Amino acid sequence: MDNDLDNILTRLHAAGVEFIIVGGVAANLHGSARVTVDLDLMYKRGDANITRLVGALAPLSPYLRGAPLGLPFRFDHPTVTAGLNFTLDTSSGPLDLLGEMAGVGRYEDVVLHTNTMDIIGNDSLVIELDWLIRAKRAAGRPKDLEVLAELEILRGLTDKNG
Amino acid sequence: MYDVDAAPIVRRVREASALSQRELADRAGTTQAVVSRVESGVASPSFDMVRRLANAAGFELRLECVPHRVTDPVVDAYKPGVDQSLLIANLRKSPRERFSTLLSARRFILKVRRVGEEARNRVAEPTAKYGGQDDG
Repeated sequence: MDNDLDNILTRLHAAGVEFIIVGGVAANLHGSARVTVDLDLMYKRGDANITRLVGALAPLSPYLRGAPLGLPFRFDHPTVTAGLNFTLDTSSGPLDLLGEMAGVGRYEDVVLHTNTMDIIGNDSLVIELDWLIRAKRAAGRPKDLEVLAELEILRGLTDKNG
Repeated sequence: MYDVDAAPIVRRVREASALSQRELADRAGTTQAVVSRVESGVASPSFDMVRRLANAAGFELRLECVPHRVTDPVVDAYKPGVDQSLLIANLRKSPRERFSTLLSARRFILKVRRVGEEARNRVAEPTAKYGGQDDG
């Protein structure tokens, strides 16, 4: 079981990393029937959290997804500090680390609009459905249109069920 | 002017604090009649009055701006194609169950991808060798 999304989440929780589940996995946790392969996480910027983030994920050999092998990429504190959003492959699968998302902002903005869900024995913060819709809409990618339709239907169903 | 129905707000905070209308009025420096008129929807209190009543009941009154729920005809066009029965079934599950289902499906997809990739590599190998012989 060490080659899966739950391995990433377990590591982050164990290291005390402040993060929010966003993207397709968040959609799934809100009831979406779509299967997503990559895990999108919004992380809190700041030295202490980046140190914890790097410590938790470095053993999973993060590397830039789709980039040629052999680039001088090191997943370390200076790299994460200098960058913002990272599209990575890890030994536990694809992982997108987001310091900011169009339409919703940074961790400090999004954390106010999260649900707490126990999905692996730890309470994880998951972006609220309304804010997920907002982010998808802001992203404006053609592939998100169908996802948006599903999310809006889910919002209608959850509104109806209180 | 603000378009907010203050009646349920005031009633809810008063009941949550187990106060009578008179007790809430005393704490807020007004009269029981005012509280009664607000709760019954007869009066349209000012924002400051609603805040005073909320504070007197031990609550903070917060205003929040939330985005309009925009309708997009392109997104709407996709909706008939969404299988709602799957969504309803998912909503009956706990988040933990949803995550577990996702993990299983994801493992399957990754396995299929890996098998496909291995098959492509097997097909590509002889070509590479053949090319190498040409170079020699």
